[in-house]
Amino acid sequence: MLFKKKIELTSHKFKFNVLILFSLIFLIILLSLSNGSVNLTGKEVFNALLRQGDEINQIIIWELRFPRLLASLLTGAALGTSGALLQGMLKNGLASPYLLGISAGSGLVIILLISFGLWLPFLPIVAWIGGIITTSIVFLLAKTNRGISVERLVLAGVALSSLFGAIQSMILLQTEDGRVQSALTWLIGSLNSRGWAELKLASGPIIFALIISIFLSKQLNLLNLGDDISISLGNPLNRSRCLIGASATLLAASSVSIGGLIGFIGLIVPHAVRSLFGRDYKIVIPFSALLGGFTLSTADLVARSGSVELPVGIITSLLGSPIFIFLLYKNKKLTNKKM
Amino acid sequence: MSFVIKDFSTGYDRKEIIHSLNLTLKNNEWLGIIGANGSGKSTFLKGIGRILKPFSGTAIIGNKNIHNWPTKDIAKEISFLPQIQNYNLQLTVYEFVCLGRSPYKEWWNWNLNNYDNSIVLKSLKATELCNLKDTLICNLSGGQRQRAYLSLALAQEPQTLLLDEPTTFLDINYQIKFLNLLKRLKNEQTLSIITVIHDINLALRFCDRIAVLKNGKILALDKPKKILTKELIKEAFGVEISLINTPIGLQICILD
Repeated sequence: MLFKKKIELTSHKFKFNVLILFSLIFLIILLSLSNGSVNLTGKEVFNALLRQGDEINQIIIWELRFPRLLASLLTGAALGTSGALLQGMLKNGLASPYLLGISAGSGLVIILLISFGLWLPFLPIVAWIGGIITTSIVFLLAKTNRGISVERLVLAGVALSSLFGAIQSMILLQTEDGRVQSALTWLIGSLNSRGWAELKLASGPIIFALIISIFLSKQLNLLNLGDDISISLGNPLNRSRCLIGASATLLAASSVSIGGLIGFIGLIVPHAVRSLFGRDYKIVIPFSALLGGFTLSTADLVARSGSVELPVGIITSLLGSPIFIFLLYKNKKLTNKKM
Repeated sequence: MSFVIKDFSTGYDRKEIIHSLNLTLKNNEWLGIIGANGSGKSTFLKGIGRILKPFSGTAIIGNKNIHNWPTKDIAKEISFLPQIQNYNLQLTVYEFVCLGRSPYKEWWNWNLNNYDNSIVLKSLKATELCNLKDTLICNLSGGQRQRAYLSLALAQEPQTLLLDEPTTFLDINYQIKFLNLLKRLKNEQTLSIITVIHDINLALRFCDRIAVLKNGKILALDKPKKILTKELIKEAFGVEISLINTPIGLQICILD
């Protein structure tokens, strides 16, 4: 009886949280479209979206705010989902989308291209390729004759990140100041002046990987039971890890090609989802996408609301750290209550 | 359906632990595996549970070599429950047991049909967990959790159950209850069972045959009454015992 009551309460809490999240997403969409250097009313936004009314308003919405909003929603969704996939696969709450070497690989090629002034128009796609190649190397290093080892994946990711990080610093020190500024904006992560060009490149892979990720939630639930039981239930570990790793990499690399290396979203969002909506990966994956999109759009709105626009990566880190500490504190309280 | 293990060797990385082991598990038979620590009991079970790859030899169920056949097909025949399990699962017992239907589903599909649901409910009923189906796994007691894992295994509809020390974390009351439940299920569902078990008296009481392992090889394999000699136990475990006749049959008492 007591358990039944607990389940009912959980269900009510879940529905309430879902309602709040959707309301907040709707609100942030409205605010992102209406707020900026030129403030628009709701009616002006609506008319501009229908390509009616003032032409300048239409340009503001269709060429600046709408693509940037889509970029923030997609990038946030990609980072949140990528983090959830990796935390589930590695069974480690500290796993982030950049753990498997994406940041190292993408960061290195970004700095190389910017420092030497090469192929700058192709920066997003080259960053994407850099991330994918580095993660592939990490997976190759993690392969043993017993399959892909989780510990080796993490260690190989850390080792390559450290090596590439050192090379990045070395190149940055030799680079002229103007270019360092530009490289840093990519490394911190920014959505400034991101538009349809970046979306055309990255939205396809992100949407594809998001759909695959939702189907992978069953595999994550099975992996969560432990490797031995997972195998006993007919789940081939290597195939699952490759599919999950590939989807997480595709999501993270695509998000890097839009906004650079935006930190903390991939780490914190899955934790918040588990705390607010539950631990079943059928829930964690789609809600990590929703909450990730909401969080990054909010951070981006904050980043461009001041007199000087800040890179959104600074806002996610500034807000992310206290939220993470709050979640840790809340979990500690819950653990103490349980004990 | 018999489970024939022939010249089977396995181990970790390049180190062979189990050496050319031969064994046939008959249909509806309960085989207990006993042996000292480090004798290779769990390694053997992991080998025939497909957790470890074979170095040589075969393990054939029906006409399927379990290491060559698709893993999902073998999961419909054999279910393996390891000793160490994840106790902190935030899934309800029902959601957890539903995962037992995975071998019958494609990797992208988690929807259970009416038949799947009926099997899940049957498994819950068999392990007397229907009233706890909405409880989270992490909130169950040790005995209830062990039954939930058994229920998960039953939902696979296997012919053979492989259990690695299933009574380790249970008190003596739950140990007997759990093994009695296994015995009932074995008879009702015509299951074949292999259990690694530390308690020789429980093995004597419940198993149809017992295999004694030492250094990765079978020291003896026979019916409990035939196998139990002071000399054998001394050789396998290095302890002196006395045999006692009790109302439940022959039991051992360690003298060292």
